[in-house]
Amino acid sequence: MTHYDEMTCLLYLEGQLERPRALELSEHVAGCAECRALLRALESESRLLAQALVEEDEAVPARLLTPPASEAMPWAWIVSFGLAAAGVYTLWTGIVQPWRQQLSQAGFGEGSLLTLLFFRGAFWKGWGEMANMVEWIAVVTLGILGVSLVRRSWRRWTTIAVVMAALAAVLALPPAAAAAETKKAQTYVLPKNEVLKNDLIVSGGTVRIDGTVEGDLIAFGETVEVNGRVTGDVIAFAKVVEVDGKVDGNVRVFANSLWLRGSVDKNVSAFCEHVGFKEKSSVGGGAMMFVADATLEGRLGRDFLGFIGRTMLNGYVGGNVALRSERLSIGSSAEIAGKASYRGPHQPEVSPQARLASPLEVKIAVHRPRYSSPGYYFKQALAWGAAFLFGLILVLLMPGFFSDVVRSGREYALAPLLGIATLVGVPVVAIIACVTIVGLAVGIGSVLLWIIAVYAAHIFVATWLGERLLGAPIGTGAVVGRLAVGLAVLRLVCMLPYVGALVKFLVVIWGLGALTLAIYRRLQPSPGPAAAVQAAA
Amino acid sequence: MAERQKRPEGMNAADLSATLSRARAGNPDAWGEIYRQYAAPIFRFCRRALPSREDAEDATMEIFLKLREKLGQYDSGRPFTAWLYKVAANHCWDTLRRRRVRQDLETGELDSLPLEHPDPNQLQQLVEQRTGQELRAALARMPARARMALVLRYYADMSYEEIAEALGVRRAFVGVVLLRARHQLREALGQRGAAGLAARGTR
Repeated sequence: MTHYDEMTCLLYLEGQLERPRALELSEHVAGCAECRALLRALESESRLLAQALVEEDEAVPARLLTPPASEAMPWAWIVSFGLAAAGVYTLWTGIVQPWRQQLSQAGFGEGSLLTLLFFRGAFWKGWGEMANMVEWIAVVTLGILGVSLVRRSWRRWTTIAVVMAALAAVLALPPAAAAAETKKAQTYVLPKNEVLKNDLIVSGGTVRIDGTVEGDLIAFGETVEVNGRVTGDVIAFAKVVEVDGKVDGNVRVFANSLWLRGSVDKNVSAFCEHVGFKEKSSVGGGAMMFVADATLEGRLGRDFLGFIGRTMLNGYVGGNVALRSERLSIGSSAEIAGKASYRGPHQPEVSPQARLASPLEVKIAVHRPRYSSPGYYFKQALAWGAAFLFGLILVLLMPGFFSDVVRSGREYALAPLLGIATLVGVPVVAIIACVTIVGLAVGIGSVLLWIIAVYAAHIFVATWLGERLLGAPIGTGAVVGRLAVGLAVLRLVCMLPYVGALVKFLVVIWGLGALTLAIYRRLQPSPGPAAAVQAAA
Repeated sequence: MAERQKRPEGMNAADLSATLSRARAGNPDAWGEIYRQYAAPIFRFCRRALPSREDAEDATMEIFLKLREKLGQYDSGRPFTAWLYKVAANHCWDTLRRRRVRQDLETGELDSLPLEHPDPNQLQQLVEQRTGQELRAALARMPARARMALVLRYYADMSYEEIAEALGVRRAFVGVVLLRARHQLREALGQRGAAGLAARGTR
């Protein structure tokens, strides 16, 4: 005798079988004890399920006792937007614009700050287009933000729209410039009297240019020497860079030491430990330095701008001097044609023989927040506004991901550990990517993303803090409220002396870890709610 | 407490429709009444459907915010609770999906495996031995879709059509989903023997 299967029995019990088939089954069951037993068991199971599900095993939480207030609070939004907009405007006019001016004086003009980051025209002729593209993307993003504010339902599409915009941007990018000459050798020497009519990219232990490069020189090596002539820019990543010959363009150096004895027609920028412009050296443009120890004995045509540990100035500067430095000494053969300003913790030593067009403007600034000045609090408020605006954009563009990150932050042990790894690991990986020339764009791109992530870290932590203070949020409006409160509290705590710095560091690694964890989880299928229940319990 | 109805109804039909039309007109007291009436069942629904208590609390509040916005769309010819649970089910399912619990949502491979025919006596025994509390604990350990299906059917008392719509599966497939969920539940219940109880005791 054949029996009915479990599926059919279940459908029968649930009243889902068609009438003839149901009749057939009930006839069969009348004479079949086994099928009857199965039906009975299934029915008991249904009963147990229904009963167990309806039973009350926990009280309704107190916060559910009153209906949730509608999230519409237009005045709060208006105030927030006002503050955020003011913050952005003041950041722009107060910090970005003056910096741009200073940079353009130092020879980074003609365009935007991005040129500083990408050294327009040096690595890739398309960076200029890229800068425009970034502006374009920013405008599109703002447009999307506007639309998403107007229409909530748009939110689902924003991700797609952003991806499409990015894709379009990538497609619209011009192709990379004609390939440069690429060399790799333990020792690379361009012999004297030899002329290379192309850009040159070299990597090697020792790179020596005795001849002429009619184009840019990009060099990676332990020692890079330019004894001959380079008609374009010199960009060098090395331990020691020596320029004894002539460079018609700019010199950008990332090195331990840069020694300049020859001449540079345009500007010099240095990210080094030691920089020495020797007596006979001459630079047509300006110099910008992020350097531990700088000595300037030669001629500098235009401005001198620096963040320097110890500065020794004993040469000619044709433009202005603006220095932030630990110490400054101006020697007897120094001459400054423009204005000179110094900011640092120690009184500079100025030789009486030094010829300065105007007296040195000195600001002794010990690196400590000035709690007594109202400007300090104003700046804090503006920074709060800027952070809030950034957070707002994050929440509105990717609400799901945002809450995921905040949730990941609740893993109090894992998140900070991961944060340390990310904080250290990404730059290392980026540097490795940069060194293998192919990955330069990837390297710079990931560093930029990393900077954004480091900044974003405190936004997630602030939201978490806000949730702790005000309870878990419901809806976007509430998240934004928690964000604002959390940011304010966090900023207040960070204003404390000593403790503030520690808190800042912890916030960065914690938030960064939460972000990393959330991204990792997005890429991985999650272990499922069972694990989540156990974790919560 | 009085015995609950299978689908928690709360007010009688006439009261409900009067309150609803007042709430739709924007009367906050009427809305408050509806909320007080249904917040607990919806919370319990979310508690069963979602992995954690926090999630359930959040979801309950979000569902009621949504309901208030959508009240105008409610067709008063249909039962209110059915509509209520439909909104709740969609919200919970969206939450789970957004969380990307991919592994449990897509049980495609599993679905094609044949199910073992149960021994009716053993099943009867299992069902009789387990308490509601044990069953809820077992539910919490099940994959999201299976759990959701059982909750929709045996708590929210939804029809097969409604379940199909809420879970985004074909109508003809709902029976399979439910049966498979029952098998998973039995397995979870079976595992939950002494070990499960011991684990509970330590807390």
